[in-house]
Amino acid sequence: MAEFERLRALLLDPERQRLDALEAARDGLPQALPAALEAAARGADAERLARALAEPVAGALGSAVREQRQTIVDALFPIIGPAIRKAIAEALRDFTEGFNRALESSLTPRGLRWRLEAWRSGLPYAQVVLRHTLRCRIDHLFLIERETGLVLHHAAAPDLPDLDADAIAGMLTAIGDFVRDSLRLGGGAAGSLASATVGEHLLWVIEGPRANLAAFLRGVPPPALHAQLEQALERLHAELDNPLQGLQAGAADAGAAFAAALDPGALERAAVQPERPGRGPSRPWPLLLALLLPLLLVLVWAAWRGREAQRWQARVQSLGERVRATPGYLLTAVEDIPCREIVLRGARDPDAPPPEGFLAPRPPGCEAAVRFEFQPVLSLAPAIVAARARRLLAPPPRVVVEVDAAARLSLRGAAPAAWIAAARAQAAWVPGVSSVDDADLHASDAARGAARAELARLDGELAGLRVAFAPGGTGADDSAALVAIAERLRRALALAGPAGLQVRAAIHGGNDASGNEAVNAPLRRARAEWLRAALVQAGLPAEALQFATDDALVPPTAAATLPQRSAHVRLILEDADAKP
Amino acid sequence: MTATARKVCMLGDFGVGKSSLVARFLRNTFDEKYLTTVGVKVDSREVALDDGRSLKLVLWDIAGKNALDALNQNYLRGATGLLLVADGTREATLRTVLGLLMQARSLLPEVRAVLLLNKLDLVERWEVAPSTVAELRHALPVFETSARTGDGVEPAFAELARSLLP
Repeated sequence: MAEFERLRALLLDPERQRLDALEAARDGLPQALPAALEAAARGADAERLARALAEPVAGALGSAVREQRQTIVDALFPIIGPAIRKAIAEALRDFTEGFNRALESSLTPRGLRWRLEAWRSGLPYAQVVLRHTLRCRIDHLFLIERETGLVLHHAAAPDLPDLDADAIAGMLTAIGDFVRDSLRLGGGAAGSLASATVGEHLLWVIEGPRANLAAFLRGVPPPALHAQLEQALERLHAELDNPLQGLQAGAADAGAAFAAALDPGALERAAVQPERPGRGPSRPWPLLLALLLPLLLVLVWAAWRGREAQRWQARVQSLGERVRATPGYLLTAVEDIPCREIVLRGARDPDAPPPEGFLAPRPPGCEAAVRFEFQPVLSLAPAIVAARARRLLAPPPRVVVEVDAAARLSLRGAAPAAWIAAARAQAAWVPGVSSVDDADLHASDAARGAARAELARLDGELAGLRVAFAPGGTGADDSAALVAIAERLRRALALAGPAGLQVRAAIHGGNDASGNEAVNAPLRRARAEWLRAALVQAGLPAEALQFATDDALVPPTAAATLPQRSAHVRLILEDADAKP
Repeated sequence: MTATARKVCMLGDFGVGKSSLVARFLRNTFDEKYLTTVGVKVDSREVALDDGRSLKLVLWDIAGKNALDALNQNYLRGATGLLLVADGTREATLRTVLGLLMQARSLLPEVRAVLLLNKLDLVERWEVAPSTVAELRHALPVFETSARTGDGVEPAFAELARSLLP
C-alpha cells in the first residue's frame, strides 16, 4: 500500500500540487479580484476590461433596479436632487425670459405678426419671439479633454484673431477646478462651472463623460443653441469610440468628425431654424376651413361688389363728362341706379349730335338702360352755330362754314353765284351769328364766266337804249326806254358778285349839232342828271350811278345811228379784287 | 491641431524662478496674476525636436507651494510630464521639489519628470553640491538652467518633450 501511495505520489504529485494551487487561487479570488481589476484598469487592457464588464455591469444594474430599488434610489439621491434643481432653475429662467418678452411684444403689430407665424408654424410663441429678437454669435468652440484640459478641437468665427487655444482650454479647466474646489464640491461632484457672463460675452461649458464643450458666445443666445451644443457633444461621444485616443493619434476621421459636429455657423443656423416637430400641435383644420370658407366667400363677394361699384361710378362719371364736354348740351343732373339705369337731364340744341352717340362704345360691366331727358335749347356754342348755319344755308361741298368765338360766320370757298347771293342774304339771320365774313367766298369759274358774258350782253343792250329829249329840253317822257334801262341795270348790278366784278353805271347826256358848247355842255349835264334821278327813283342805288365825263364810251356806230339829243347808260366793269 | 499635445505641470517652491522660465520659454498668454488668484497659469508651446518630430507642451505653471493641496492635485490630473524647478542657490528648494515629485508620483505613477536647477547665472552661490547633482542624474534628467540668460532652458524642455513622445 505504501508503494502504491509512493507510486501515486510519483505520478500524480505535480497534478495534485497544481490542483491545490488552483483551489487556493480560487479561494483567494475575492481578495485578489479588486487588485487585479485595478491593475487591469490602469494597464493596457483597460479598454478590453471595460468592454468585458459592460454587459454584466449593465445586467447587474438592471437587476438591482428591479430587486433593490430603494438601494439604487438612495445611491442616486445625491445626484438626482441637484439635477432636478438645475433643470427647474433653467426652466424657470427660460420661462421668465420668455414671459417678459411675450408681454413686451404682445400688443404690437409685430407681436401680432409673430403670433400668426407661431400659429402657422406650430411653434411656441416665445420661440418665435426669441428667434426674431435674439442676435447671437459663437466666437469660439473648444472641445476639451476632460481629464487633461487639452484641446481636442477648436473652432472660431472667421474674423477673429488666432489665439492659444491650448492655453485657454487649460485655464478654463483650471478655473473650473478652482471654482469647484472653492465651493467645496470635490473632484467627483456633479456641479461645475456651467456658464459665465462678462458684458455681452457669455461662456458656456457643457460637460461630457470624456470631453467638455466650451462655447464663447456674443449676444443673447436662443434657447435652442444650448440644446444644439449638447446634442453635438452627445453625438461626438456616441460616434467616436474614444475620441481622445483617435485625435491624439492624429486620426483624420476624428478631426473631421469634430469639425463637422462643431461648426459654429451650422450650430447658429440650427438654433434659429424653426423646429418641425413630427406631430405638431393639432389644429382644428376642418372646423377652421368650414368657418373660413364662408368668410372667404363673403370677402370675395364684397371685393367683387366693391370693384363693380367702383367701375359703375367710373362709368356714370365718364358718361356725364362726355355729355358736358359736347357742345350743344347743358347737363343739369345725372341719376343712376347701379346696374339698372342711368338718367341724364338737361337741355340740348337740335343741331347738337344725337345723344345716342354717347352709348357707344359699350363699357364693360353690367347692362343698364340709359335715358336722356333734354329740353330744347338754342346754343350759342360756335360749333353748334356753325352746324346751324350749315343746316340753314346748305352750302355746296366746296364751301367752308365756320364760326369763331366772336360769333362771326366765315364763308370760304367757291360756290354757284346764285347760292352765294342767297347765302349773303340769309347768313346774317342765322341765330347766333353776329357778323358774316364772305370775303373769301367766290363764284365758281363756270358761273363767273356766264355772269360776265351776261354783263357784256347787258352793256350792249344798254348802249342801244336812249332816252330822247325834245330840242333844248332837259326832261323826257320816254318811259319805255327808262324802264328798259332800269331793268338791265338792276340785272347788271345783281351779276356783279357772281361775275367777280365791280359794276357801276356811267350816265351820258347828249346834244344835237345846233348851238354852241357853252349852251350844250350844261344841257348834256342836265339831261344826264335827269336820267340818274329817274333811275334812282326806279329803285337803283345812287352810288352805283355816276356821270360820265364825255361821250367816249358811246360807240361810234351807235352814235351814228341814234339821235344824239338823248341820254344813255353804259356799264363800267372793274375787277372786284382791284378796288382802289 | 497640427501636433500632439501633452499636459505638463511645473512644480517648485516659492521663488525658484518658475515664472521666469515660463516667460523665457513660452508665449505668456495670460497674466501672472492668475498664479496668485487661481493658483495656476497655463501656456503652450510647440517644441520641434532634432529628429523632425514635434510636440505641443501645454504647461501648467502651478503656484509655488511646499506641498500639493487638493486644488493643486486637481491641476495635476491628466498630466503626463512634470517640470521640477529648484533654486540652485537654495538647497531647501531641491528638497521641496523632490517632495512634490514624490507626492505627484503617487497620483501619476507614469508621469515623466525633468529637474531644472535654476539660477545657473549665480552658480558661485549655489548650495547644491555637484555630487548631489550627479546623484540626482541617476534618478531623473537634471538640467542646470538660467532663466535670466536662457542657458539650459531649451534643452530641458526638449528633453521632456522627447520623453513624452510615443
